[in-house]
Amino acid sequence: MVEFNLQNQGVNEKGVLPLLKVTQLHVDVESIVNVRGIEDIIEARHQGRELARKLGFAMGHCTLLATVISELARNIVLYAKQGEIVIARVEKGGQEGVKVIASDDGPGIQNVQHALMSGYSSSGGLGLGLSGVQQIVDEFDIDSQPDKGTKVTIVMWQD
Amino acid sequence: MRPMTSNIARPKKAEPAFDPEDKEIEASQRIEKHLNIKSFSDQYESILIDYLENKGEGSLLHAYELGRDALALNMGLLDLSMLHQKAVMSLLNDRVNQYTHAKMLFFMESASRFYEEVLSPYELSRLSSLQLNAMLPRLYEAFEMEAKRIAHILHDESAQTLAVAYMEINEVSLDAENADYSREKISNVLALLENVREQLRTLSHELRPLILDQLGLIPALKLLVNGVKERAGLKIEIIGGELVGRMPQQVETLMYRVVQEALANVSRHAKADTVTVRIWLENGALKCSVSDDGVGFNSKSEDMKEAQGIGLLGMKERVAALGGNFVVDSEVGKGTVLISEIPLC
Repeated sequence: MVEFNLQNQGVNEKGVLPLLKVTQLHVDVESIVNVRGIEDIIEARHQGRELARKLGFAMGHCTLLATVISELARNIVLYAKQGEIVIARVEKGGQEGVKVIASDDGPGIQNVQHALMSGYSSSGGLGLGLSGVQQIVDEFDIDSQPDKGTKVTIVMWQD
Repeated sequence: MRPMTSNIARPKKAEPAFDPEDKEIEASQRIEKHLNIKSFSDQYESILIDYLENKGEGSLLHAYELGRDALALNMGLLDLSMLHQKAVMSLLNDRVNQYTHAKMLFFMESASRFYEEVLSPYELSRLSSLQLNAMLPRLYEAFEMEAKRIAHILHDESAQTLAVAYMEINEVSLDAENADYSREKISNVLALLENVREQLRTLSHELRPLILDQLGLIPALKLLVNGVKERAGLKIEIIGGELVGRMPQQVETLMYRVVQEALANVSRHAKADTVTVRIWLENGALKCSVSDDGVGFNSKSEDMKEAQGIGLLGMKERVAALGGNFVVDSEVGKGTVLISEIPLC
């Protein structure tokens, strides 16, 4: 799978529109885990950690990736009952990283902004850990609609 | 396998009500917390053993869940550290005679890996609170803007509408000069309207005194003090105000809020007769003290937070956000002093 990231660089000083600068983003899916319960969370963490290790992530970095996967998987099990976690190797301009896509068809999040701001509460509120996850990862994207499910995409780059 | 929803499925305790059973409930909560921590530390050791013997992602997930549970139990990081160390030492004690040097090193490394996993929820929590703290100043700014807007509506628009109603009724009252009954009724309505006008005026000043923007901190504080004097029957003196000129708007606003909150607390809780507000500039900072001769409280006790009230706690955060300082010092029977400083730049 290849995604293209197009950036229009604008007109240069000679008044000539330069070629569009194209950064290729390679995405290779390593594993897809159906998430229904605790065994699947363990599997998703394992897959994520293995990939990070292969890419040469530092030990603490691997732990944080596992934490991020746990938080995302936990939300799936708690709120949507089931969903899917895709773990992929990404490469952009010589840099390698791990991409995680956690998606479900669950109840969705009513107020995403609120969920992201509500802090890390261990008492089980919505937005559980999402704000912490957002701070840990390098790229974060969330798409959620009430009754249509939630899709969270994150990337952690090596180093 | 431990169910992952263990700490979520736990039934929520009802908010303790104010009744004679309070103490009992409190004691039983303490015992429950103690039992929770006891069972937590037993679990900790058995999951750590499981990890050391089998490795595997499963026990690491459990380690992470332990970290989450510790957060839910509101366990301090240092307490958690002690607990980990105790578990490691006790396991080591059992094995020290059978282990080779290499095996010992491996054991220690695995134990740290396990602990790293336990700590990761604390790292999440730290990062979230960093983000939330960074948002606080903007939140307070938004609050001040909103207060300004509402104060403006109260002061200008509602007050004017009221004035019109006032004049209209006044005219009717003049027309109805012969009917004594109507005249009496109408003069009652006039008195009520006058009351509402006064309430609106006070409310608008408290929300955001326009004088604070127009004339600055000291005139605004004088007005505030006059209001509190009247309402609470306190003797209040402002000392040093004449030395202080205009300052950055956020400094003036915040110091106004600090004094406002302090005076509100004094009139609510202190049972004081006199209050002294001192204001001065020192080392590029605006400083202010508010002292009273009231009943005081033990500022070193655990009840400090409650005694300060949520308002003062909020003030403390706002002052800290501008790089300032805020202390409350009190002793039972010796009154209370609040000292606050806010740097000017």
